[in-house]
This record gives sequence, C-alpha cells and structure tokens, in this order.
Amino acid sequence: MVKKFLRLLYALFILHAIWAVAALLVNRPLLPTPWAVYSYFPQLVGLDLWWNIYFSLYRLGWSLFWATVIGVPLGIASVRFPKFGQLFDPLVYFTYPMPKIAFLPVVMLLAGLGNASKIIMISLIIVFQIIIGVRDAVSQVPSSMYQVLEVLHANRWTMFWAVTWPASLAGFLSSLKIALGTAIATLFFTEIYGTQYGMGYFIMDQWNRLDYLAMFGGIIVISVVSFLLFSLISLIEHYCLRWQKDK
Amino acid sequence: MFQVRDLTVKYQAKVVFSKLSFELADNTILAVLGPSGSGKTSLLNAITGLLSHQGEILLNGHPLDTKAQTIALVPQDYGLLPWKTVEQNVLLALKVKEKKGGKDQPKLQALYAALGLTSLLKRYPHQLSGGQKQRVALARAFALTPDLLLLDEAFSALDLVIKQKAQQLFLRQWQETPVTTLVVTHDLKEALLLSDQILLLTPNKPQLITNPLGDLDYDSRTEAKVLTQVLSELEAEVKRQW
Repeated sequence: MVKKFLRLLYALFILHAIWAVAALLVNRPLLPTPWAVYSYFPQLVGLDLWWNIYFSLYRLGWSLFWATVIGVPLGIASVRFPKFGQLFDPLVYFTYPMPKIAFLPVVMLLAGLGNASKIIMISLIIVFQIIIGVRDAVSQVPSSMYQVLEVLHANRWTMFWAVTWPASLAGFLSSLKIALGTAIATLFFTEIYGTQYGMGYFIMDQWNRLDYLAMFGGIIVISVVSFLLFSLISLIEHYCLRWQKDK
Repeated sequence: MFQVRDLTVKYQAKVVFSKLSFELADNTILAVLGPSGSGKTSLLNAITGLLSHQGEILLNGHPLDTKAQTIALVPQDYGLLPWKTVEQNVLLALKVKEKKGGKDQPKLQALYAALGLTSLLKRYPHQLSGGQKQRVALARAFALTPDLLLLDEAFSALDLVIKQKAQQLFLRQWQETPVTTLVVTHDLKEALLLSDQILLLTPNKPQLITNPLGDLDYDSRTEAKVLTQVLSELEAEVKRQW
C-alpha cells in the first residue's frame, strides 16, 4: 500500500516536473506553470465548478449504467447461447471498429441537444468494449467447470451464478476500466455543444475567454475526477476479484 | 453393476464407436485405455449425458440418470472454480446435489485430512500446486459419495513423483469408500496401477481384459519386476491392436 502510494507520488512529481519545465521553456500565458494554476484554484469555485463536475458525473454515470445493463447480458449471451452468438458476433465484429462518434449528428437529430444525446453517444461507444470484455472472459471459462456441475444435474441458474457470473464480472471490471478513459474523452467532446454545464464545456469556455489558468484548472479537475473513478473501479475489482490476488 | 449395451456414439456425423458393450461389477475400477482420438472422452461424455448416443447405459439395472443418481467427474484440468476456496468448491458440489454431506462436518473433515487438505481449505485454486488441485477435485468427488465416479485423465497433468503419490492417495481413499469407477487414461502403467479391468478402445473391436495385477495392492503393483513384465505384455497387445 505504502509502495503504491509512493509510486503514485513519483508519477505526480514527474508529470508536474515535465509540465513546469515545458511552461518555463514556452514562457507564454497559454501554458501556465503548475504553481500558477494551483494558486488560481480558489477562484475556480466561484465559476460554478461543482455544478460542472455534477453534470459531467451525471452524464458519465448514466452512460456507464446503460452500457453495463446492455453490454453485460449481451456479452454473456453471445457465449452461453451459441445460436445467438452466431448472429450477434458478426454485428460486433463489423461495428466495433466503426468510429461511432461520426454518428453524433444523427444522435443529436434524434435525441436533441440535451443530456439524452450525450448519454446515448457515450453509451454507444463504450458498450462495445464491455460486450467484448465480458464475452472474452466468459468464453475463456474451461468447459470442465460446467461439466462438473452438469453431471450433478445443476440447473441453468446454478451454473450461471456459480460459473458464468463470476467469470463475466472479471471481464466486466477490467473492460470498465478501459471504457472509463474512452467515456471521459467522449464526454468532453459531447459537452462542447448544447450545454452550459459540464467539465468539457467549462474547459472550452475558459479557452474561449482566454482564461488559461481556469482552463488548466478545469483540466486538472477532470483528470482528478477520472483518477478517482478509476481508483473506485480498482477498489471494487480488488474486493470482487480477491480470488485473483497475488496471481 | 454398470452396464453399457450396444452404445453407438457419433461426433460431427463421424461414428466414434459402434455397438460398444461392456459390464463392470459394483465397486470395481475400469481403466478405459486408448490413444488420442480413440473415443475415450466421447465415451465419458455419452455416459454423463453430455453427448447424445444410441444404446443403453445402465447403473444397477436402471438407465443412468444424472438427476436420480450421483455421478462425480474429475476432469483433466480438475474443473475447480477459481473464485471459490477449496472448501467452497467441495461444498458447492454437495449443495448442487442437495446432499447433506456439508452438514456432516466430521465426515468431511476426515476426508480433508485423508487427502491432506485440512490446512488448505481457505485457499483459492491459484494458490495451490497441481497435485493439491487434483486432491481437491478428488475430495469434491468423494464427498458426494457417488454412485459412479469418472476420472478423465485426472493424473496426466502431474509429474511422475506427484502422480504416484496422487494415485496412491486416490486408491487409499477409494478403498475406504469403494465406488464403481471409470478411469480414462492413455497411460498403460496408470491403467495397470489403478484398475481391476481394462477396456482397450481399439479401432476394430474394443477389448475388455482383466488386469493381471488387479488382486494386488498399489505398492505391490508398483514393484518393478511384476509391473515391467505385465506392462511389456500389455504394450505388445496394444501394438497388435493399433
């Protein structure tokens, strides 16, 4: 634990050192020094910072929820129901590499400029990562685990709760960590239009106002929020997948 | 009595074996011997109902039924659930079969002790060695007090020394609670060391032979002179058949 914390401090120090050196070399207002940004932080609170964080988290939370609710069952079903998998897998294969963000105008036209289109867009992008992560995890379960229970006449529910669900949970949590990064990047993009709240809007708005200190403050805040969410998923993973510890 | 009558199994439209018949007396061990692709696993899958088949499979005069009878399987990779501890793996099998074995703690503890698992009960499978995992799979099988025990290449992943210990431990436990058992293997020596009878799955006509070492205990069977002699005779027979 202490080692992990020290490693985190080391990474923070290196990143800030690179940032500081770059700021001193560029020596222009568009790239302020870390200490200038941090000393400006109290003024950010006056700029509705908490509301911006709240709206971003609201959109992110719903997106992750829908991607999970849709992605996990589809990922499991594509393995456990081979006939469904035969029909569904080619669709995933063809649509996964597609740049879903290109559908943004269509989603905007159908769902409007509000939260719905932002949530749909983020969900649409990350749901594929979750489907694939869960599908791969479930497909890697050796058939012997099912066979041992099948010969004991275990019913489908027992096999689901004893074998499929724990296996899918491992795939889900690791894909969720990857999806989180994508989700936040997409969130930033979707908050550029049709809103006056959200960290994406906040950063771009400060950029338009040439307030680079607030803009960098926004970048720091969204990074910290991402890091905290990532840590939360890691914590859940650590607890739920304790059987993988020291593997 | 375990009986297989006129069993025909097809896999992907190819006949794996046709009209296979054999009998196995209660509380004896049959080694099913054959090279890869000879149909050993298909036979096992047909018995467990995982593969459709024609013909009859009877246990004590009744068609084998996984619901009414208890069949325990020890697969090659042991089939342990990595997210459950040793104890939970054993208890899950008992729970599925709705056996009260889980409540019979003294009996269960005795089984753990006999298989050297007492200190490993709270460990997860990834914290165990290959030999320990194998013992957990055996504990899970014996805890069920099954009507039929199936071992599918259950010793093949172990190195020589561990394998011998595991076989010895298995036989010792089996003698405590004898059960009609099928041991699927490709290892002639293993077949001789563990079984009462050997079913040679040959391409033409499967052959059932009585193990000449069947009356001896494990230690006597491993005595080099006897084993080497019988092994070479069996090898010659196998070569003739294949």
